[in-house]
Amino acid sequence: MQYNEQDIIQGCIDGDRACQKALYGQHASKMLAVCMRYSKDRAEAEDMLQEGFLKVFQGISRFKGEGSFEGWIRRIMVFTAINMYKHRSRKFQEDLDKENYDAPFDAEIVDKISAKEILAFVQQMPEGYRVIFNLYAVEGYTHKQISDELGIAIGTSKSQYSRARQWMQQVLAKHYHILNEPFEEPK
Amino acid sequence: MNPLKNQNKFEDKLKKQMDGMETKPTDDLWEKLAQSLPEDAFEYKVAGKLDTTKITPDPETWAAIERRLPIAIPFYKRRIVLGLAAFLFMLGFLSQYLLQNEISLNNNTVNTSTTTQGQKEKDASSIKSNKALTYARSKNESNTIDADVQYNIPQVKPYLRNSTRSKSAAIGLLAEGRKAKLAKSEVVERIGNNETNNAENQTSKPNENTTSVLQNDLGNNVSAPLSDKDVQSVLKQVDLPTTANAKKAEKNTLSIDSVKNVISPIAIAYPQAANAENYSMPDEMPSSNYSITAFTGYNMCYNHLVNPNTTGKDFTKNIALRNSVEAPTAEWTGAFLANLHLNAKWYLSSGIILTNFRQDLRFGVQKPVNELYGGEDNASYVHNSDSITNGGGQTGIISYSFTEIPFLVSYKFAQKQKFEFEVQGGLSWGILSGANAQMVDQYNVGLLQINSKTDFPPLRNVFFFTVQPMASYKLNSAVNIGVMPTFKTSLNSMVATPYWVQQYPYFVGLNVLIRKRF
Repeated sequence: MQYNEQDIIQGCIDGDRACQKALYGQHASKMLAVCMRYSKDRAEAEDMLQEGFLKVFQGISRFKGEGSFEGWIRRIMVFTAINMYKHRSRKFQEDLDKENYDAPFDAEIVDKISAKEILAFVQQMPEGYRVIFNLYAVEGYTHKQISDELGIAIGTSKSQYSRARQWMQQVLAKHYHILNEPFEEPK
Repeated sequence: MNPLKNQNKFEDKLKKQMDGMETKPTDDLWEKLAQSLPEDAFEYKVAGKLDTTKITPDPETWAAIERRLPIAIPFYKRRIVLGLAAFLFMLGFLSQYLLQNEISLNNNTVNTSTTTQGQKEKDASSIKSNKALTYARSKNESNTIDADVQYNIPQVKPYLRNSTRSKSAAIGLLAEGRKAKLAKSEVVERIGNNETNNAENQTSKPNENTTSVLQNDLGNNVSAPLSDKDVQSVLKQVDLPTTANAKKAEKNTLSIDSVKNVISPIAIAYPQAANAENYSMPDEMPSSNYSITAFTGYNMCYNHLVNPNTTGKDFTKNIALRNSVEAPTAEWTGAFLANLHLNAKWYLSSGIILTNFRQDLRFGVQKPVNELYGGEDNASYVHNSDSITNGGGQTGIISYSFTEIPFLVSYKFAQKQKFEFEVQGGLSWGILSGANAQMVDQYNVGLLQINSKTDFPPLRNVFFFTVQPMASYKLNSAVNIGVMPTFKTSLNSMVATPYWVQQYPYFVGLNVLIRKRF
């Protein structure tokens, strides 16, 4: 049975299981990708997705139709991720490789690496970097908003992001160069 | 000329002007803007890549979500339930209204039926108090009537004695200081008029009409017995027409006694009315349909623990330990209810009930066998790794607060003099408004601290079923005080997850109550 978005939302408000499943079916793939960015592996991301969708179903009656519904779900997923992060030990990383801190990075490299590979690198990021990197670079939060959400100083957010950015560029560059190194036949 | 068109024209012109307007920003604005922009397109490119990514989740994820979703009643079903409740409520009100209205109509009924002589005799023989009032003047008097002209008040309705509404009406009149005197002169006047008419037309049936007049006046207005003086004044004022059959009228004498006989049923119906000034509300006097009840008391609080059947985990040992370390304790409860009385026996109640659940936790701890958690011996609190045991000096509390919205039905099954015996039962929606509890972990290791519904294990609101017999003493017609043993049990588990021990709180208690009827 085909539902439009309004029917699905109304059905979910009424507790209709079919509509809830339809909503899940429509948005789960995108939202899992969002959750993957904030988690270290797929299992954690699916836990996050589960929590997030429960919150969506519990709070769907509060969606007033202002703005995109997908955006609303996405915000819930992000808040779920932030909450999960807050409940874990919050460690911000200091162990950046200082040697390459100011190394130049060609942004064109990003175009040449697949989204799945980039996602895999995001997941490999230290946890503190990962949250701030996602919030700033992908979700478009300001450092002020990040500091409010995470309960940290703006300066901390900025410095962590700077390191996360550098970390990511370093990893991407390394990955790109490995892929593009000319193959040398063994002598 | 269309003013709207004009306005549009104006808007168009304004828009045109504004659209073409340019204002040069200050020179350093771009520099400020550029500073907050990233140095390269790195963020845009990464965000662009990641934003479009989709990853199909494992099918088990939906199954897990589905298991955790509450089974919600669809809105249309809720509407049916709410509609039904509203309908029943309206039906209750309507039946109450009709019941009242019926009584009221009965009281105001004017008996306009023709009363024949035969019927009169029958009435007189069957209802002693409803003797026909028959009178005539002696032949020596100037005003005489035909002996057949009899003025009857054959049916001072027996329902007057039973009717609650007529009593109320009479009391109402008394309270207004009218004291029923108005009726007497009116009765006399109307009798006179009717007699005149009857005398003029002696072939008619004169006793057909007067009954209704007097009855109606009596039924509605008379609430005090007539004195001898009143009756004499009646006789004096009746201006009866002269007839040729005065002799026959001799036997039909209107005496003071006969008038009293007519009035006596009213005196029976209103024994207090003879002394209206000192009148007080009789005990059986009903009042409005509304009352309020307040009760308070203590409940012993128990928890029925059940192994969840939706998971393969076995909580048997955990339940056994919890049953041994969680001790029921008495805790306060209180309520304020508004009651709607449907009739003398049934009433509905709703309002707010505060129910507190409390148990004591008495347990011991056994430190872990391995040395990983060394240094615990001197710790004053339970470690997550400590095994919980039955017996020992450690204590804790298990405390939950419920705010209940009840819908209760009450039935009065017995009444003996000043005592009333009722039973009250129904459902209530128990909103879990507070939690401060410690719970043994599923592996009997460590304690979980629960301070809110969202802590683990998550808790939820419950439906309670309550039954409470009630014995009350009537202090007066409006106020009852009584005692009320209570049994209350939850119909669903207060633990919100199916992967944990399900707990059904239930209570046995005793309350004292006061009820005020308006």
